[in-house]
Amino acid sequence: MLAYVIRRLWQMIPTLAGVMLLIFFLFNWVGGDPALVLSGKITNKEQIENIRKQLGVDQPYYKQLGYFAFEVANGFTCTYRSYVDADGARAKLRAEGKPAPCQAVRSWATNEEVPKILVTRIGPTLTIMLPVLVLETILGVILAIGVAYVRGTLTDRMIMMVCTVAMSISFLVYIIVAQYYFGFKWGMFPVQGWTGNFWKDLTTYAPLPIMLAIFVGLAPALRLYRSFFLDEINHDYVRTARAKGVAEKVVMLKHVLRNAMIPILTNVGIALPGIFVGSFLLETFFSIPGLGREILVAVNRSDFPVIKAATVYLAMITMIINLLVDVMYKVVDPRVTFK
Amino acid sequence: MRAMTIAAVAASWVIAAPLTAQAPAAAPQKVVRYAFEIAETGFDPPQISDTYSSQVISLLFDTPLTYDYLARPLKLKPNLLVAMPEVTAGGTVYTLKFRPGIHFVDDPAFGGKPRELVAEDFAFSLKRLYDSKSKSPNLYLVDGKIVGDDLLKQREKELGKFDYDFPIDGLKVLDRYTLRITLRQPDYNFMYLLASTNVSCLQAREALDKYGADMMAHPVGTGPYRITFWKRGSRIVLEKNPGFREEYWDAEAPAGDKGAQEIVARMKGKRIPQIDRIEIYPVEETQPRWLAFLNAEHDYLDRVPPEFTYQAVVGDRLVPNLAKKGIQIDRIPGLEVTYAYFAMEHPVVGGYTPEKTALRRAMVLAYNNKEEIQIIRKNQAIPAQSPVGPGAFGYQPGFRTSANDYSPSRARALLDMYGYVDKDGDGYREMPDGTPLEIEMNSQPTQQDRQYDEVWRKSMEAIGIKMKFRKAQWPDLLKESRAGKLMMWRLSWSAGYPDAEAFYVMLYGRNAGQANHSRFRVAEFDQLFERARTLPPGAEREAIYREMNRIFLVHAPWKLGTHRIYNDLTHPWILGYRRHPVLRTVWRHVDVDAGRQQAAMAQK
Repeated sequence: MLAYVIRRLWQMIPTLAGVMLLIFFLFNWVGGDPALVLSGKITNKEQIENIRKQLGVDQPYYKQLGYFAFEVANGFTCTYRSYVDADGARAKLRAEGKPAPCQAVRSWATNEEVPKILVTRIGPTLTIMLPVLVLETILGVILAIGVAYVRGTLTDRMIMMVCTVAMSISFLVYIIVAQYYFGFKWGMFPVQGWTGNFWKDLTTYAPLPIMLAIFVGLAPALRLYRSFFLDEINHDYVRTARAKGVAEKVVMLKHVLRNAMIPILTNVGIALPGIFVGSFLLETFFSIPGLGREILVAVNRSDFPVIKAATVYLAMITMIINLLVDVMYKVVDPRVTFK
Repeated sequence: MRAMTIAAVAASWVIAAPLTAQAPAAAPQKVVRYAFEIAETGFDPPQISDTYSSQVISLLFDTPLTYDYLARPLKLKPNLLVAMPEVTAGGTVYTLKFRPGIHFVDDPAFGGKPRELVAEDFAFSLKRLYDSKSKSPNLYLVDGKIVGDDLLKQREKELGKFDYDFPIDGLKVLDRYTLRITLRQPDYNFMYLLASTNVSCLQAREALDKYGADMMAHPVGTGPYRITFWKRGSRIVLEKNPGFREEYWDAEAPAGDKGAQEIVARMKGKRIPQIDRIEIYPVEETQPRWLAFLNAEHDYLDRVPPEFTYQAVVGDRLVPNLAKKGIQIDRIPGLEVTYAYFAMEHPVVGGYTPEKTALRRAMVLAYNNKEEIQIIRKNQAIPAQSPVGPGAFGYQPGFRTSANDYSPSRARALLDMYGYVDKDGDGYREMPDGTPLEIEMNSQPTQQDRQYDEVWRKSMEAIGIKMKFRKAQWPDLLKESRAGKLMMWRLSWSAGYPDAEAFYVMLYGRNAGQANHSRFRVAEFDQLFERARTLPPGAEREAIYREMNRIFLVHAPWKLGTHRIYNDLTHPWILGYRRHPVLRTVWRHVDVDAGRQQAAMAQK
C-alpha cells in the first residue's frame, strides 16, 4: 500500500505541471493586459511599461513560467524576485538588523498577499460547504435506502417525480425565491451577511444558504444513491441472505449499505474538492466572503496571481482527495487490493 | 455521537435563527450601514481609482480643499488650508497655507507621538503619484504639469528606486505650513485637483516607511474616521477618529432649494462628524442589496439598482408604499456621460470627409435614445446634448441641437444623398463604392449589453444599416480599443472635477489611444482645449467650451447617450443626506437619529 501511495504522489508532479502550463498559457493568450486595467483612464506607454515591469509581465514567457513554478514550489509564499533580492530590499533590512523575510506573491488588484487571501477565504467557504456535504450525504443515503426499499410504490414514484422537478429548476431561482421569502418576507433569516465570528455565522447567516444547497443537491444525490442501492438489492447475495432468514434490517443496513458505500464514496470523493471552492452563487447572493466569490472577483479583475494560486491549490486538493478516496476503498471493502 | 452533534447544530439553527434575525441592534451609537455594489480594493490613495475604495478614502483622509456640501453651482472651499490657495503668475503658481494643529490619526508608524500635518506632507503625497511602485492610475491628472516632475522619474530610473528627498522646483516648502506649487503652464483647473480624493489626500511618510507594500491595508490620514475592522470584500468598519480637529457643520443652501435649507436649519453648528460608526458591506448582487435595505439591515441604498427602479420610483418620486414608511429619496443626475464611439481611423466609420461624417451623423440621428431611456434606463436618465455632464462648468442646461434628434427619415435622406444605398437589393445599404456596409458594435456578454445591442440593431435596421455584435470581456475590449482595433464600443465616463475639461479629455487629440477611444483628432478642437485650461472660469472659457461642443457635433465622433440619474434611498433616521456630484461620500455632513433607528430595529 505504501508503494502505491508513493507512486501516486509521484504521479501528481506531471499532473500539476500540466495544470500549471494550461493556466499559464490560457491566461497569457486569452486574458487581458493587466497593466492596461491598472493604469487607469489616461496613461502613457512609459507608465504601462512601468506597471508591466512591476508585475513582472515584461519578462519573456519562459521566464514568467519559471517564476510561476518557483512560486508553486514555495506555496506562493516567496516570489523569485524577492528570493534573489533583485531590488536589494532584503539586504537593506538585514543591514538594519531587521528580519528580512521572502515576500509572498501579491494580488495585482489589491496588493494583498495571495496565501493570506486563500487562508482567510477558506473558513467561510467550509462553514457553508462542509455541513452541506455532510448533511446532504447523510440525508441522501438515509432517504435513498428507504426509497430503494419501497421501489415501485407510489411513495417511490412520487419522490422520484419531486426529485426530477427539483433538479429541473435553476439554483439561482431557489436562491432568489428563498432569499425573498425566508429572508425578507417572513424574516426567519437575515437576507445576507457575515461577521467572521464562526458560531454567529454558523447559527445566523449560514443556515439559509446551507438549507438551499442541501435542498438543491439532495435530489440528484437521492436518485443516484437509490440506483446504487437498487443494484445491490438485486444481487444474489441479498436474495441468499433473505432466503436464509436474515432480518430485513440486517440485510439492508449491513449487507446492502456496506456494498453500496463504494460508489457513494466515489461520488462524495468527486464532490469533495468542490467544498474547498464553494458555491460562488451562494457566496455572492448571501455576501459570504468565501473562496468562490474571491475567484470570481479575481477573474473579473484579471488578477492572475490569485487565479493561478486558486487553480493550483484546487488541483492539489483534488489529487490528494482522490488518493485518500482510493485508500478509503480498502477500508470500506477489504476485497480491494492496490496494484 | 456524531449524529447527536449534527442534531445539536441543526437544533441551534432552528432556535437561534429567528431570535438572532429579530434581535434589536443594541448599539447606542449613531450607526450607518450600507452596501457597496463592488468590493473595494484597498485604501492607499495613489494606488486606487475605483469608486468604492475612494469612498472609504474620503472618510479617512483629507484634501487641502473640499466642496461646499450644498452649494450649487459647486463651490470649492478650504479644508486643511487657512484660506483658498493664492494663485499667481497667471495661474502657474499655487501657494497653499496649511492650518496648524491638524493631526494625523494615532498610528504605530508615529511611535506613540502625535503627528502634526505640515506642508511637506503634501509635497510627499503628490510625489507618491510619481513613484512607480504606486502604479498610480491617477498620475495622468498631474503628470507633466508640475515643474521638475520629469526629474523625479529620471532620478528613479537612475537610482532604481524613488527618491522622496529629491527636491524639485515645482514643489517648494516655504515654511512649516506653506507649500508653493509651480506649474509648467497656467492651469486654473488645478484648483479642483486640490480637492480630489484621487490626487490630493494628505499622507504621512512615516506610514510608507513602516507599511511599504502593505499601504493598501494601513490608511493613515487626518480624516474624520479611522478604520477599525476590515475584511476585504466582506466588511469595513469605520469609527470616529477621536483626534479629529474641532470642526463645525457649515454649508450654503442655494436660494429656492427648500430641502437644502431644511438641512442647514437642522445641521448648522453641529460638531462634525456626527455619525459614530459606519459599516460597509460589499454586496454584488442587486436583490440582497435591495432587500437588506427594505429590511432595515442597511440604512442607506447607494443608487437604486435598475432592476428595482419601478419598485422604488414612479417618474421622479418615491413610490407611495416606501414614502409611507418615511423612506427618503435623493435624486441627482450624475456628473457623467454615456456614449458609443465611432473609431475615427476606421476605414468604414472613420474619417473626416463629408460622406464619412454623413454616415456617422445618420447613425446618430437614427439611434432611438428615447427607447434606451425608457426600457433600459427605466426613465432614470436624461438625454445628453453634449459630452459635458450636468453640474460641470461648461454644461448648458437649456442647450438642444437637431444633431441629436431622433429622426430616421433625416438619417435615410442623408445616407441617400451621400450614396449609401441598397445596390444589391438585399434590404441593406452598401457603401458608396458598392462594397458591403456592415457596422460592428462591440459589447460585453451581459444581460444589459444585450438590451443595448437590441436597441442599436432595431434603430439601424430601420434605416437599412446592417449591424453585427462582437462579444468580449471588458479587459480585452479595453486593450483592443486602446490599440484602435474596434469599430464601435459603448462607454461611460465620470468626471473627477466639475469642469467641461474633465469631459473633453476624451476628445483631445493627444489622448488618442487612451481616454480618447475614438481617436478623434481635430487641430482646432485641440487648440481650444489647450487654451481653455489657461483661462480662469468665466465667460471666455465658457465660450470656448461651446465652440468645442459645436466642433464635436459637426464631426460626430460619438453617438451621445445619457446622463444617468442616481436615486439614493435613506431610512427616516438618516438626517441631512444629499448626494454631492463630486464628493465621494457625504457622511461627515450627515446625522443619524439613533433613537428612531433603534426603535425601528426593535419593531422588527
